[in-house]
Amino acid sequence: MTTQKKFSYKSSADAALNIASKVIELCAVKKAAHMGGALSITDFLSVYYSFFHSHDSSSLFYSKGHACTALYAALGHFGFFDLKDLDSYSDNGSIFTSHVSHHVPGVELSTGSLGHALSVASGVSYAKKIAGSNHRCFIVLSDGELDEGSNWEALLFIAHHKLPCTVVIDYNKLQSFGRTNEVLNLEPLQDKFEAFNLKCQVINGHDHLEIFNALNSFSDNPQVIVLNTIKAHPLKYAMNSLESHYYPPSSDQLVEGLKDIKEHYERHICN
Amino acid sequence: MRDTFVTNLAKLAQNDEKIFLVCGDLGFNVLEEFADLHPTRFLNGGISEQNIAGLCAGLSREGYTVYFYSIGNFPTLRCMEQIRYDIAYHNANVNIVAVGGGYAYGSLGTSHHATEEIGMLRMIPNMMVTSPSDPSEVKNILDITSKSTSPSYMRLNRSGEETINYLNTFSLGELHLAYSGSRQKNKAFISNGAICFEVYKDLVASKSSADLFSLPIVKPLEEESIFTQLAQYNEIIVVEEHQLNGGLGSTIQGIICDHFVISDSNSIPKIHRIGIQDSFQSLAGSQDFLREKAGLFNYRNYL
Repeated sequence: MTTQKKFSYKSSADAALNIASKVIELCAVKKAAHMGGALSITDFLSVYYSFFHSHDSSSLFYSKGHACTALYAALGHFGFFDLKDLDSYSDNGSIFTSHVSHHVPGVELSTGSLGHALSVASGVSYAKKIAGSNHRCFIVLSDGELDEGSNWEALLFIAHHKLPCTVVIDYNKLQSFGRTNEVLNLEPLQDKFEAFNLKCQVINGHDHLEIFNALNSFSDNPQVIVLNTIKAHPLKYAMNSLESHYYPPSSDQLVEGLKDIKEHYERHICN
Repeated sequence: MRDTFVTNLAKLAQNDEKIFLVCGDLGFNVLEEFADLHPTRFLNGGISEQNIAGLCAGLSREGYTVYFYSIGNFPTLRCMEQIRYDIAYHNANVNIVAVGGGYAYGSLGTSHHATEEIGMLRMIPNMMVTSPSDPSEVKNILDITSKSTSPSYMRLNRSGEETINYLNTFSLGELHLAYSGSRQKNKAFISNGAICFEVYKDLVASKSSADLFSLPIVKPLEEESIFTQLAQYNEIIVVEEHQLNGGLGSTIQGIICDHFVISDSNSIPKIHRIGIQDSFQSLAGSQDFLREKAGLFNYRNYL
């Protein structure tokens, strides 16, 4: 599947600016965790929803359910619901739970327990394939989540049946309790996917054009894209820190962070 | 039971093109009957029950009525969280079927003793949990689950079980009279799964005056109707090939106690629970040998 849409930094950077700003606002106001992993996947979500999402022929399964603020903000930005609704995030009675909920419009699957979405997506993809559909499933996983064995069961299945799935790894190299290479080393990661007979590209997960080209290069076969990302990108005070997995921004950090986001993305928009 | 399941599922699938069977690399010389008739709706997902449980949820999202078949603990305990989250929480149309319930695969060892799964699955919202007592109940449960769109579990024993002739009616969530000893309503046995047939045989042989009910659906139940029926007896003996914690006996106890509190009755029946007493069986042995070791034949004290 390739997209008919033409790449423009303006649209995806504009989306990323809104999504990232919403993520840190929500984390600050609601004193919520998991800001870092939400910001590291924001660029991918911005490019995917700007150019590749199609109600009829693609679906996105978001396995890293803890990084829900980015997905919710993306869905709000792209009109699945009124972005204002998201202000109730994590409040008593809100549908916006702090791990992804399928009760939110646009969400395919509730996630939060890691290592689930790839299996469910492979079932959807298998059914679509035997029905002759050209539907493509995009599945977003965190890097720490690859510790879960169920993912590797699903990858065996996807490779064996040559399912049209795009598996996207947010490789920010930090997991809950430390660096991925210290907790449970994933390297050599690309070799692992290739040894499973899966084509794998490793790209800069914050470069919108690289993401666009990687998403646009696929045939009907399964593919893996490893996004080299930085946790809490582009917040100067929090980038690449384990703390950004837990601590919400203070009011000063919020002001500073919103400025960082604006500067970073407006540079692209102006280009 | 196993053969009844496969034969009837293959038959149902002839008229319902949405029925899909997935196995976890088990079912040699059993599932071929379905696979040969419906090759595009049969899938061996490999030895990967966690993936298969999620995959079944995915297939069901595309409109399939999915059956996931494997042995005892593998499509149940091994992937319990996928069942809870991907299947039950999303109310996916996935029906889990396990062969080898209780000690059916006795000599294969503790890995193959399925003695906790009913209690665990019973606790999960949206799950229908069933343990048919004979092949006729397998067929009746299949008729229900193939039309339902919610998830379910069915425990099978293995093959060659006989039909309990008395069981000729079936209604969801109700007690089914399997043997009637007298009209005195003094003592009633309640059971399900293959051990129900053992109780039945013993009652017939001893010409017991007790009654026997099969309760093949463990959840959901018509609680009020069950309470009304059972409240007429002085003594109830529940027999199950499952841990006492969380199984059929505790289900019956719960119903009787809960409904007694809100009823006009002055007394409730004495309840004896026969089941596995918080233990594993680690010796080799036939199903009957292990049942004996676990004290499951102690129901004979009440015949």
